[in-house]
Amino acid sequence: MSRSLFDKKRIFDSLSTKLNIKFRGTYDLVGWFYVDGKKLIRFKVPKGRGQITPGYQKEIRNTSRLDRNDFDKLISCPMKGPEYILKIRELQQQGLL
Amino acid sequence: MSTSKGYSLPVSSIPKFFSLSIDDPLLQSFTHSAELSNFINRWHRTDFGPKGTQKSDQFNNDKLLLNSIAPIQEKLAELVALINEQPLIAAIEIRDLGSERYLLKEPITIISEQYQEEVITKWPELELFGSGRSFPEAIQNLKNEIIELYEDLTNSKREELGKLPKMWSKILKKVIKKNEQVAI
Repeated sequence: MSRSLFDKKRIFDSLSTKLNIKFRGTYDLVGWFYVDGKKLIRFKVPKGRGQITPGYQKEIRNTSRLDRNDFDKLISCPMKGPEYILKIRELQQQGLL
Repeated sequence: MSTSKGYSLPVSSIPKFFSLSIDDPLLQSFTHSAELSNFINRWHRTDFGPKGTQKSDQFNNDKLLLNSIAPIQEKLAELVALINEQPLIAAIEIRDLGSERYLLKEPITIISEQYQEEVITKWPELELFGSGRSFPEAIQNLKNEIIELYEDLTNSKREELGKLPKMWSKILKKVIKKNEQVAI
């Protein structure tokens, strides 16, 4: 069981690059993950650098609908955008998104 | 734990060891490898065998016992760390968004999670959360989030919204109204 806390910038970079999310905001950064041209998931990430706090990371992970291992994979590299979209499509088929 | 007759306490306290509360100092001491190895060394240097038993037999038995404790001690350290990560959870009612522009038609119940060094407030149904080093900061952060989502969704075309954002929009319109007395 991985219990890693990521760097704030790493989370921002992974989500914006892999999921093509355009973040904006003054304090925290907010951006939509689009599927089929529709706003589907609203991500919020902290600004700046340094390690993220445990509660904040947990909330981002909950937002992503990924379990701890898959979230680690999404942020730390092995999971690419298309693989994430497949997981989200599964949830859509189940009527959960 | 030390007595004038040596360390006879630990063996007899093993069953008790498993029923200690998580905050018990004895249990906490077992979660540190250095503490444990010191403890083992001190224990082995003393004449701890019960009357009538050979120290060598006792030593071997106790060594086996301690070897079997080591993995438990590691697992315990993991569990203590996991428990420390669990937040204190409470429900809070908010009655105002802290904005001149918007009013709440009815109070909203939000959840607060207090971690060691941060507070998270959230409205789970809308997947909104705020964070801060204190309750007031985290609550205000969540209120700003609510307003931001409300404005985002009301400025979005309906066909642009997925299933959940549509539902969030409906919920927010039920509980938020614009303050007509303030020019937006």
